[in-house]
Amino acid sequence: MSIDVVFPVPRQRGPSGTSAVGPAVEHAWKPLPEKPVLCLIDNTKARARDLLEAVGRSLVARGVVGSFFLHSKPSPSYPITKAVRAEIAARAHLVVSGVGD
Amino acid sequence: MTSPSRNLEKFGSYVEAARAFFDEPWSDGLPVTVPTPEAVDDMITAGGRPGNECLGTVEGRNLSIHVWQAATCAVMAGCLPHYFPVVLATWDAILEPRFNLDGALTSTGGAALAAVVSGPYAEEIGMRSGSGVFGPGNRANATIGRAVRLGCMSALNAIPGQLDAGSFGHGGKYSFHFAESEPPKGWPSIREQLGFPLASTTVSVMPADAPRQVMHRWQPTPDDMLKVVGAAMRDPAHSGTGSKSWYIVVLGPEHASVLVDGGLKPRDVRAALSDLSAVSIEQLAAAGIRYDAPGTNYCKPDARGRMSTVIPENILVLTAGGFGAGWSMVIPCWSWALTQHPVTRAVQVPGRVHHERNAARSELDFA
Repeated sequence: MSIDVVFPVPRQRGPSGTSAVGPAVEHAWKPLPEKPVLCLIDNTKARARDLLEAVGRSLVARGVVGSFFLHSKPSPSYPITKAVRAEIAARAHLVVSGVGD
Repeated sequence: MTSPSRNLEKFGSYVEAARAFFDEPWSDGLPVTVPTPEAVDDMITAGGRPGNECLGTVEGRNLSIHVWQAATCAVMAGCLPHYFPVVLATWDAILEPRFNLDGALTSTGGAALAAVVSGPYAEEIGMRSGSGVFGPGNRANATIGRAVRLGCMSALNAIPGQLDAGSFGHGGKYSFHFAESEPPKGWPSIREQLGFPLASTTVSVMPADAPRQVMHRWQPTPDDMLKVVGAAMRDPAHSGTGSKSWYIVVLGPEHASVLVDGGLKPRDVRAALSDLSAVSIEQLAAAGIRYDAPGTNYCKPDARGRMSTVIPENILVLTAGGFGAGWSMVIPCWSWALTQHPVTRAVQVPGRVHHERNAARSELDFA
């Protein structure tokens, strides 16, 4: 005797069983320019800005990115708004968020 | 069957199915009740809303949760179907954008979702408000909060070490739903303080640090009682101290009776605790904290050199817990007022009167 079971989301581990799950989101990856612009999100925790400035300078010096800029949130737990996200997306080719701890 | 068939799997036995849930990264580490399609459908029916309704989206994660997913998690958690309206009201509250669920689920502070249920439906479904109110042992208290946490972990990807960056977490992250006791004579319930009718049932949710027990069993006066609770709220080690945060203050029976006998109303208690919980620069320094160190979020000191921990409208004062030596609990909010806002929603039970809030009658900003 078998039992049917509902999962709240597609299973990530274990046997696939009868599920047939495709990728949740189709990302439209764009090719990077030769000198991409990087945005680092500063979460404003202690010395995050110093750390990220150093990381950004190092990546430029190594030729990984062409330039970089920081975006500082008003506070660590403050979510980035749609408008700010759009502004960042207009300026940067790459964004690293959730850094600064 | 309302759930999409793509998330259906077949197992050889109940035990085999139950084991499969432990393998998922979104397991909370405890066994689940296996959600069969029939059990999930019963849960959806009890909520009175379509299974494919989207409850909301967490913008920062680009992830949503639907009624059928919330129902599946409620079955997994061990909820009875008539608990589900409380589960749905909790989801409606935390998915309000101003609640900042993304921040609460992500933060290294490791917030739980503390939820106070106030009203007759809490008693009807058997929620506990008395002895051992914070657990363990009551099915409704334990499973309603767990249902929401399982939804956060699965549908919203709040997995420890991944998008849940909580450095420690705490026991409340398994479940932190509890009921308000019948208020002392002359005190309004918290739903009434929030502007809801007496006949309604509400859920007030706040992202919360671990609760802190407050003891005073040496014949406190009302003034003593307020001072000891205020001192617990002023702890410089809390992230919200001096930063205009939020608080849930749960008074045990003995402590409440001291305040009631002293002629104090919840409004008086809130005003006093707001004043007594303010912290000075010197008190922070004595605890090894420099108020102007880079990255701090303390508010501007007032004329007396003190910084507000919480304004009166941001303190939820209620009674719960059992008789004993003299205990209360204070529950600090995870963050400060600028970044999030606790939310209250009425529990809507299918086939019954829907209750609305009259904001003009509210004494609190917890709604």
